[in-house]
Amino acid sequence: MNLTDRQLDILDRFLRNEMGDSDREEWKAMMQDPRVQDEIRNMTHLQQAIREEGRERLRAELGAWDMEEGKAAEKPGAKRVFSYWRWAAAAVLFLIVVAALLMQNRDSDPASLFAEYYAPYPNIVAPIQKGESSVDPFSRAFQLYEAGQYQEAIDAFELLPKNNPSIIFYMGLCQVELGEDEEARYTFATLHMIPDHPYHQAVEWYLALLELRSGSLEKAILMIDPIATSPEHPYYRKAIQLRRELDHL
Amino acid sequence: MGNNNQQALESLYQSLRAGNMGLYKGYYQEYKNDFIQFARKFTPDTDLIVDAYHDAFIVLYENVLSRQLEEMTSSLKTYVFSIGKYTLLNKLKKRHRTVYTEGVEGMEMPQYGIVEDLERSESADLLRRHIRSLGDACQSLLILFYYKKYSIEAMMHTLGYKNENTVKAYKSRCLKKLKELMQGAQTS
Repeated sequence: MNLTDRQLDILDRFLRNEMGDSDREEWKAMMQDPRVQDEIRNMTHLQQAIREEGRERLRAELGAWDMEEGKAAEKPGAKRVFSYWRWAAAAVLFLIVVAALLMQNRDSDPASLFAEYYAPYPNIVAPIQKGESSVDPFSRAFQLYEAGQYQEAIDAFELLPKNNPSIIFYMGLCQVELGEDEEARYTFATLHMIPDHPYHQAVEWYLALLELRSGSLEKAILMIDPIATSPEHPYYRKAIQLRRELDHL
Repeated sequence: MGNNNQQALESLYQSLRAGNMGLYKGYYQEYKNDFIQFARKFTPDTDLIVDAYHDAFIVLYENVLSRQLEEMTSSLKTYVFSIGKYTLLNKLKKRHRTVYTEGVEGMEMPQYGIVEDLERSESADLLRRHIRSLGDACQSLLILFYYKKYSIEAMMHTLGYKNENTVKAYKSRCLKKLKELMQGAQTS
């Protein structure tokens, strides 16, 4: 059905959220006609699709501003060329040194260091008691973890309410044990949302080790350094040792 | 304070309606690093944080243009941060199998404006394909009018038309073409 120009203008104002008081009476009258209702419905769907296209364009524009900002941070140009050469030379030198050290000591690669420094976190929540096998689902999940049955432990944790930081933390530990590093990272990240939970420092350590296992040495170092400079941190000594070893990689 | 906020919002509204993104871009760049720092306490994933920041600015854009923030008393920055935090926590919640939300501040919907789910809807996908097949000129025109809510005058300047009537005529033509495509798809 074809709307009149006046009706189309009112419909546009409706879609743009710009209807004035004077439009409302006419709008009400328009809405009485089923054919007009159809047209409004079509236009509303159309506007939804246009909105999604618009959002995508706006998102691309925001992304372009981020890139622009990144490029601006790299300036000035001439100095940058010089700087590139210096960095390239330093990188080549670094690779030569790393290669030489690796030839000397093949055991000190990131994966070996992970194996050396990683230790499962003890089950301090519901430890297995000698001669007892727990039947309550909460204790059972932790005891499966302690017994090294990590997949079964995850399945058991999944059934528990996720309002307890211990459950989330130990699920993350199971994922580390199973080599599900990406999932573990995100599970640990959710712990960040819980104020004052008791596993903050342990999570910092395990996240650093996950970076090490994935070979992201720079990220690992960024996470280890704050631990290695905080004497009160429970992983302080380990972090200092690991940091030294990383310096020799 | 509230008055200053409203003035800031009004200036932003006027500039966006006129097709000037400068002020909006200024706020985007000004708050970005602070938001990333702020959001790191929820997740170390910078990509996800930037994604949430984009969402916050899309929501801000839409709510400013639809005049949804007229009652807002907090500052623009506080508003952007609350939307960003809300979308970030929801993204984390969707992504993880386990998420702890009880007692976490910020899981509640921000007080002002409308925060729609910015995920793409499948039902709009076919329509979007039709919009894309219209060609760039029609796409831009429809987006500027129905999404960015440019005035006809601003559209005329942005798209380089000689007068406002030409913009209106071209808009009608684009809509007609789009409806034909929709009808064609329905009958085939």
